[in-house]
Amino acid sequence: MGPEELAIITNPGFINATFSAGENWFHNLVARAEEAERLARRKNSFEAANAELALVNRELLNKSQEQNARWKRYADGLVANIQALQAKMANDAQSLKDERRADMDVLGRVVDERDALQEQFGALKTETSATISQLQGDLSGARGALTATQSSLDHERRSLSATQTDLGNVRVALHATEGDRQRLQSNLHLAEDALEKAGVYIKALKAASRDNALAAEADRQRLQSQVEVAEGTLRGTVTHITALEAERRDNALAAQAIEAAGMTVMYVTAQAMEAWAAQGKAPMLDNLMTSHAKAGGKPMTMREYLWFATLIKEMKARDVPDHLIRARCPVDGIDDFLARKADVSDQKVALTLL
Amino acid sequence: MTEIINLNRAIQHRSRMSVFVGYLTVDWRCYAFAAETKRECMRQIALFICEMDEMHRADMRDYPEVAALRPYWYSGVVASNDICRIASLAEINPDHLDAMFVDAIDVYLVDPDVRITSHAIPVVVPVHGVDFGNALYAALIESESGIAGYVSTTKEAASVWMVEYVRDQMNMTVPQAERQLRNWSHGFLDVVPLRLSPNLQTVVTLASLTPTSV
Repeated sequence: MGPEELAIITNPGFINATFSAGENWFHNLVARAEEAERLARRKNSFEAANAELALVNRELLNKSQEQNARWKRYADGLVANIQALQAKMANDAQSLKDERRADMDVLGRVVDERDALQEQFGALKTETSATISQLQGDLSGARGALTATQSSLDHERRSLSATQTDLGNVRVALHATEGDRQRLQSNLHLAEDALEKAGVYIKALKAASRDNALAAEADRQRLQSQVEVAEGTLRGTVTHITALEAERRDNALAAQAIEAAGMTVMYVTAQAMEAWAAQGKAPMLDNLMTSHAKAGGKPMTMREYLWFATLIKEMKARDVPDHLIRARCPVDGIDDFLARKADVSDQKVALTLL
Repeated sequence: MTEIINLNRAIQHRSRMSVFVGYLTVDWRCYAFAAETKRECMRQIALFICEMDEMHRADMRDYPEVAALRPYWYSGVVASNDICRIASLAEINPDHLDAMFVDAIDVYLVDPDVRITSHAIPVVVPVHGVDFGNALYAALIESESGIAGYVSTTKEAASVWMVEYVRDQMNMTVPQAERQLRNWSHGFLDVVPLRLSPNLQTVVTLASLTPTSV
């Protein structure tokens, strides 16, 4: 190495520069590595946190799904129970109803039969009493005839020396009593025939009463249908009346709203005129509005706009139905006012004019 | 019962309009209401309470965890029957109106969960100021002698009045008064925008129109 090279490499400036360059290089290297490590750690920490969050979310989802499934099963079980109970109740109700109907039928039939038998019995009783009285009468008549013949016989016995013709007369009289007895027996037979005929007649009556019952049933059905028709008309009248009453109430509300709006508009107009006068402005109530128009496109003054706005506000406050509002406020685009929904907010929003 | 006293010796504007002003303090904020009649003013206050009730219920339904943050309407207010009656358009006997209103709100003052801390029955206050904007402003000061208030159409006029009032009451200069206002420890002090009833809002909006903007 020549003296120039020695001079250079032993130069303290050169040594310093080289030394510091080496140190800088080394420290830069270390710093870069540290920076890279820090960034990697930061990125890893994000990914770890993300994985944790994903796990927690998955856990929450699973738990909520489980809970939902459990509740759903429980609810389905309840619904099935309720439905089974309802079906059972319906069946029981139906069977009870059928039993009851059958019992009522049997009862009705038994009652009918009892009535018929009672009629029969009454008819028979009258018939037999009539025949018994008739027979008794006949019997008393026969007794009378017998006593008469007995007296005549005694009379004839007293006059024993009567001729054979008297005996023959007595025999004729005996024949007559025989004839009476025969007549009585034939009457008895007639009475028995009459009783038989009465029985046959009663059977015919029973048949006739059954036909009457059927006819009565048909009449009852017809009357019931008439009753239902009458009930329908009655219900229609009642609904009509309620509709009329609602209409009347709505009209009364509309009248109230018009009154209140009149008072309000007077106050508002007076105050506005005063305020304008105090500020030195001309009154603007008769100026035409550019933003609103009456129905049919006719122009509207501010006075009219004020009146309509107040009236609509009062009517909406009293819940007057839309058709009444439309009738009294002929304003273009009134549907925007009528469709307005009330919303609750932090700031109070006035009914915006203009 | 509190009264709003108007001390208006300094400013000589002839006020043409008078309104009824009442206020309700909820969660240390003052909400003041103005209307054309006392009944209407009470109705506005009652409607505000019903609004709080509705917002309270909507929040309970949608965000039950917001209970921890407790905005002013999340204060457990429930609109009682009397409040609902005052908030409706029903006619109430004027002799019983005051007592009914005070009784209805006393219930809330006693309840520790409800944030309503004070109220004022509506009284007549003249409106100062000639130039109408879209709203009215009220300056309210509470001190040992009571509550004083001033209603005007501009916020600046109300602030100016407040400074002059303090200056007159405490016999200070204006800068001293301003400093005192910043460190006011005697009670409530604020300039609030008034919530107007619908008719009053219509009047104020109409009054602020100019012929070109019709």
